[in-house]
Amino acid sequence: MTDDNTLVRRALEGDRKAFEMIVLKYQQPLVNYLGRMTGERETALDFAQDVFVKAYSSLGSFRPSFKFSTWLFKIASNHLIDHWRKKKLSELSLDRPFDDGDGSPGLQVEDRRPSVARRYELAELRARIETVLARVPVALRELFVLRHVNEFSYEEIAEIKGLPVGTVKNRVFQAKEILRRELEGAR
Amino acid sequence: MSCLRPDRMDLYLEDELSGAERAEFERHLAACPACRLELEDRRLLGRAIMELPPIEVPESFVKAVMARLPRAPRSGISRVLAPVTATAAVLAAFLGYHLATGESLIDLLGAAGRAIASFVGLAVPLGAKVFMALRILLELVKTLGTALLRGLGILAPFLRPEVISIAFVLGLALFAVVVLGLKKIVSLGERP
Repeated sequence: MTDDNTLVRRALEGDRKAFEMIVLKYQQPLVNYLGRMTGERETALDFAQDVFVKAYSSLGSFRPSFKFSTWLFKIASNHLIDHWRKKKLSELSLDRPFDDGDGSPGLQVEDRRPSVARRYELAELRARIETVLARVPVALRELFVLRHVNEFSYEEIAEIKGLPVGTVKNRVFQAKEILRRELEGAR
Repeated sequence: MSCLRPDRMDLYLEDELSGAERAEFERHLAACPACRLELEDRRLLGRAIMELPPIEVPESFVKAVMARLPRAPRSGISRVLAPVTATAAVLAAFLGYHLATGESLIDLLGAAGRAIASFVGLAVPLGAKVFMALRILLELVKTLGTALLRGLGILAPFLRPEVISIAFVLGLALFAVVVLGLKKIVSLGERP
């Protein structure tokens, strides 16, 4: 498969087929990310279209020294922030302040809790995760989705969001703990 | 020895611990059934999260995106060059005219300035008049419309349809008279 930088170069030279290949490659991960963030498939599809159009329009500003996927998801993340701003949601809304102290988790787990994962069959557990994921605050959920759904490395997420790697690790962990807590509550 | 921190467990599962940290982690794990149980639980949860089903993307998606794309992407250089090129083109036009006619550049720039000032001098008062007229007209339409509807609402049960039609035509005529009068007041389209 042709690498991203070659496709971008060809697209910049006017080869629309090359950009079509980029869309084909990234449509699924982008819709997965936007869908888990907005909670609505149709909105996710609309946003994904907007993101690809924005990416195409500003393709000239892409630097081949960076990864195309992180550049594309940065555009998608900014698109979501614009959406939340219009809906009067601040980027770190719907939650209390986060404890981002390096190394120390924001959510302490005081005791050994009974198993969450082993309580359900895998299929049921996945369905429950889909439901409770919407209750994780957006700023934490975004980092969690980038890490565990889109499988970006912590360093790549740090680049997408412009945050220190330690903060990203901490917030991904916080998101997972909230998810576990919600799964326990969803019995 | 205290039990393993949950955040360290996640990093262990994601292979994010250094060699030394990993070795220490595994030493504790070998001696602690509670931590082994919790680690297994976290492993199962992590697997379930990774295996969330993808959101279906319709086959028409790529086509829809391609239909929305502008004709060509703008290169980074063209973004910077666009305003520079436009300015250079204007300057080149002045210079070309100067070379072709022999008129001084200062005179040319002065003439361009006067033309712009004269355009602004005409456009601003005219724009203000149009704006004022539209505002008055809108206000009148709103007031008359409300009054007419209210009046018709009260009278409708007592009047025959023909009478309502005549009243409507008379209302329109009155409206036209008002508009013509207004046109005279603001002198729109009239030259002394």
